[in-house]
Amino acid sequence: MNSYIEATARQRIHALIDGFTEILPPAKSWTSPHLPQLNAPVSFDDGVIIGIGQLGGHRVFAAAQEGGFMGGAVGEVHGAKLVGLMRRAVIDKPAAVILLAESGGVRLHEANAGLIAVSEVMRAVFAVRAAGIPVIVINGGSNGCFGGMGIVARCTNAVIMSEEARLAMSGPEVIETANGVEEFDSKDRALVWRTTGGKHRYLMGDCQMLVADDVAEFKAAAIAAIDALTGKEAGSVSLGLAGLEYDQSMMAQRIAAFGDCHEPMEIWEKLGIAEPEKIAMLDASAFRELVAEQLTHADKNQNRAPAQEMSAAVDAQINQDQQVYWRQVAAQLFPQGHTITEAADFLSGTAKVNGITISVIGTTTHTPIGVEIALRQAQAVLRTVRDFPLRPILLMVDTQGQRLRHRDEMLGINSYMAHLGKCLELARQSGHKIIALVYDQALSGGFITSGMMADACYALPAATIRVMGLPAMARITKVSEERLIELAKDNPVFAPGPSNYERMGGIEAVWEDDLATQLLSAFDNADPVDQRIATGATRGGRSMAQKVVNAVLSEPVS
Amino acid sequence: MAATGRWNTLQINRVQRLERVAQVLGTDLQGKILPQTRIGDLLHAALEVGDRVCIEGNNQKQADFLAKAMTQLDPQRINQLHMLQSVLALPEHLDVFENGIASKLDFSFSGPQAGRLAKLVSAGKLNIGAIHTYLELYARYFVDLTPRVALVAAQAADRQGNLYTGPNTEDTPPIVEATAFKSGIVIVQVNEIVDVLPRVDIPADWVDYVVKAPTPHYIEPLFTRDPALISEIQILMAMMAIKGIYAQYEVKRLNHGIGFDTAAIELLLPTYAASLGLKGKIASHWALNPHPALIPAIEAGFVSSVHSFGSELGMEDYIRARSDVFFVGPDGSMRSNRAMSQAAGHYACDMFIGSTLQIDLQGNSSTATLGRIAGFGGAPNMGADARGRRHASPAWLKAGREARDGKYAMPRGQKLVVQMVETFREHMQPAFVEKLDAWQLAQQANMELPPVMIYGEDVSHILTEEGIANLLLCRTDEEREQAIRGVAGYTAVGLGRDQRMVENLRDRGIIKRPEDLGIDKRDATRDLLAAKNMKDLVRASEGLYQPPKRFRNW
Amino acid sequence: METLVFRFENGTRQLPRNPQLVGVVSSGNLEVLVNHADLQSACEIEINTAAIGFATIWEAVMKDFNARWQLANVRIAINDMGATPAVVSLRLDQAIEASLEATT
Repeated sequence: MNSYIEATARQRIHALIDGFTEILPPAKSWTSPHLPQLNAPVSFDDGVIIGIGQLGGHRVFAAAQEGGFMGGAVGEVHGAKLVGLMRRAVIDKPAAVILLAESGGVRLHEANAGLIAVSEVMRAVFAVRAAGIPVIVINGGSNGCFGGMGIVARCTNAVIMSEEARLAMSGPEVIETANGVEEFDSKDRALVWRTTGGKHRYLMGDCQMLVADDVAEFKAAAIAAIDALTGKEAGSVSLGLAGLEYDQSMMAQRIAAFGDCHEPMEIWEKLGIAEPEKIAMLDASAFRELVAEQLTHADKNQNRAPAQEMSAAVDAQINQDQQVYWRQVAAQLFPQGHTITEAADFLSGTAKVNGITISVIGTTTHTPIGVEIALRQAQAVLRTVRDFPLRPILLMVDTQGQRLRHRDEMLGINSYMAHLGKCLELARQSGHKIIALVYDQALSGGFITSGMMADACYALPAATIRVMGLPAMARITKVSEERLIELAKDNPVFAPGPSNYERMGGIEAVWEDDLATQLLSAFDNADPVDQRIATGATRGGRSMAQKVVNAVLSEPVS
Repeated sequence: MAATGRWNTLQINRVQRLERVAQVLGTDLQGKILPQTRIGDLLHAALEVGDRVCIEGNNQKQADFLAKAMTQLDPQRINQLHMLQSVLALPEHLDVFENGIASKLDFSFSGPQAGRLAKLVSAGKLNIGAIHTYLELYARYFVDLTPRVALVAAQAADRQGNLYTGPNTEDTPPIVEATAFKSGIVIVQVNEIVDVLPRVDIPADWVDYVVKAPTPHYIEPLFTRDPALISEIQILMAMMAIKGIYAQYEVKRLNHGIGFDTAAIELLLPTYAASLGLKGKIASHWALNPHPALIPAIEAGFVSSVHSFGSELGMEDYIRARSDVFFVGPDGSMRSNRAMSQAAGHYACDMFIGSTLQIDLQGNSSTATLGRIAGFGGAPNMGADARGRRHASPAWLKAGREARDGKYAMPRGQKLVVQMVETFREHMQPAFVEKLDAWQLAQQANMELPPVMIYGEDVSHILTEEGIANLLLCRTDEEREQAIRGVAGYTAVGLGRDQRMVENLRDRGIIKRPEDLGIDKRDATRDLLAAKNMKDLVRASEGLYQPPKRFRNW
Repeated sequence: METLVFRFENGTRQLPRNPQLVGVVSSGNLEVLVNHADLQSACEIEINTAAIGFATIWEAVMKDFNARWQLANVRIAINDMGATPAVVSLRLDQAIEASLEATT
């Protein structure tokens, strides 16, 4: 038995993909332009291996993230390699794209560049799927798949995990630091794995296949997934309304049925597992058998009114000024009037722009994005797609990031965020124009799947856009706060303001003065193709990414 | 009992204390049992100013409820206490000094409190009598450091006051015996009070007061090592240890010091050692805590017997199911005994192998670092030649011959004491130095001698990733120094070697590189580990081993 | 970060032309990239390391490495994250051996 978890990314991809040929190999030395400024070493492949090969007789494109380097996190070059690989896949049309994911998400050392890159990877995954090519994630590394990559994983067609791997949004240490050890004891590793590990995700339906920590088993599972997705069930490869509506109702039921549970084993019991405490010790095949026997479905779940869920779940931070602020902005955006209402920090309604009705969906009070509010937004998007063809959508963004609670991780916040991303992508593919406006705050995970999924994202001059606060960043990167502040002064990668995101192509423009006119112009100019890498290069804020993508597209491979 | 008061002052004083307690507690005292809420009153009545008090801060088990109660004493009533304990483990152990209740300390090891201890000493809040090894300290309880009052921890008591100390018996027997048989007072905190004990570890006659603590006494899982963290370098060193020393000397009886280096050896027994045909020939009898990393070797049939200093959290059921190997009572649960295990390690083992922080040019090794008074624990007992030993074994005779041939008229055996260390530690700190930090620490903390863990004269071999230096075969101080430099790699000490002398030592087999032992470095991969992670250990134990939460990832 | 460059002349042993990479830039580890280069039979080694101030040790390790292999027309590039000399030597040897054993 050959352990997947012990192998390096390079060893894994060569073991899984027959005849693997690497694109942009280490000898070409496409290294990070940002790490040296923080005195961090670079890696010749920037922590990700991309290339082409064969799997089960199919021609496939594949990528493997090296968890040992920077936690596998996504920086500018790393992200551009993935985006380039997937853009090339859309052209070359392999049978599938396989991502051997192992990542902490956004590479903090590259801050803004990493954040934008992760959302570009998400858009690239959707583009591959739209071309009818399945994207499959293999998640079996010790670092797991977190943050933005946790969202990306759930944007793909299938996730294959071992029980040693984890799939989540925020790490337990982050949650414990933010909200205390009673919220999530990060040292209780058994709890961490019950909450975010492969077995739990399989039981929840967020992971489609659960295998032992064995390269051969991962390989067999990947081949089975490709066969399933390119065979009779090929219709599910691209996003579709019916599929997403089904997903959405499942996700609502998940909150209704399990939203009150504190402990994953309570959920397993409700799902029909007779002896949940025995699950942990079962090996992969015994586990799969037991689940097939014992798992019952939705009819056991109770239904609760959505409003109850919302008020029960969301932490209310009453700030009168903040609540009113969105109204001020709306008044400036919509001189012809709007019907937007606010309920527990969730904004929804319609507005008139140049005589045309648009849907408005958003958040206020810097609310953290938990499972409920992510779902609410997704429901509003699908309602628009279903009932109002071609109606434009405006996302109003004000969030402090993903909610840092054990409960949200247990229920799979990364899946809810991914679902929102999929709904927005479906809307775009169905012809809806989508514009986002960061009118107050946009932080990390809460931003990736809303603002950064729009056709174009704009910001008000006073908006704050950031991956993470500097003190926390200093702690994690082990770079002094002074040094980060110094860098933040004139380095677009680190500075938190919207003008930096504009320079890097993440934000299309910053709106001063007449918001209504600029909104109209934004809808007129909305482009369904993700142009942010090109924009970043043209504006000079992010030059490597475009070069990497060009190199990936042009490198000759047999 | 004679009332003369000349030759039985201790007995008379003991009775006075018991009477004070009876008066203060009244009907709250049921036989020997008192409620948690009266512990402060008990201590105020039972203790007297200047008492020698032994509290169980063991290596693992902590009488934490009693330690906390001690910090809450009124220093106007109780002060000048002389504390005796194996380990300063809890903050409360030093709080009693900050609070003016205790003023003098005799101990063995301070681990997590080492930094704070150093600060208290330099601030004059605490006067250290001496720093001991565990066995020395217990020995002095019977000579010149007899406790007047003992504060101990047990798993359970019955209503008469008999105690069950179970797998974590550890230091309790000598502490209680010394105290009880010099008219002292024994106070014990228990996790539960039951009608029938599984077995009696300490008879009620030796016990004066029993209190059920609000939470079970704290036990630290010190000896669990996650195989996932073992590196290729550690595996290479383990291979050299097995082939270059265990096999060479036929080491059957041994003790492993704590650490990942020795965990790697334990995990290589069923694989690498077995492939060399060594099963049954080495590593059969152990003085060792129940290391989870030893499970595969036990299952593979390498191990006949293990006697333990303490227990290890999560191993209880496995031990029960392997009573041929471990020391298990008629009730089925283990009994450990640190004092006896230390004696076993000293006299009945042919080899000690362990890691350290610093080694100097004579082979003296120390774990002392500046700003921390860490102490010794038990290592010096295992890591020392046992000059009082008389019975022979092949390993002992061979080592003795290597050390003495051509040198002395009277032949003797010698214990193998192996120091195993990577040449560089974390942050590129060299393990080999010209002068140990211990010298500076001794000056800072006013110690008579630099705190050396293992003296160079007792070290038989030094093993690094560069090879093995056999100091037994060295005939001069200069040879010894160059042998050490020869395995010190790229540290300043290593780079300062006399190249020619080192090559000569290698020719004579005093220094052996991996190649000289027939070891191919490319074979030193994690695939050699009999278990690569905690789950593998659990599987090897047939599900009997239950690792504490912090070690699980399932 | 510190960059160190070493050059050893008059190497005798050539390697197959294809580049080889061994190792990962994780804590206490390093990656070694071995490549062919026309260096008039010399071997050049460039090290980028996060651990500053250990030039003497790197020099000793590289000298011993060169004594072992005597490579000619080989360029080696290293990204190091605080590996000990033992790990550095191990990875270097692994990289050369991988290069010698590679068929593609």
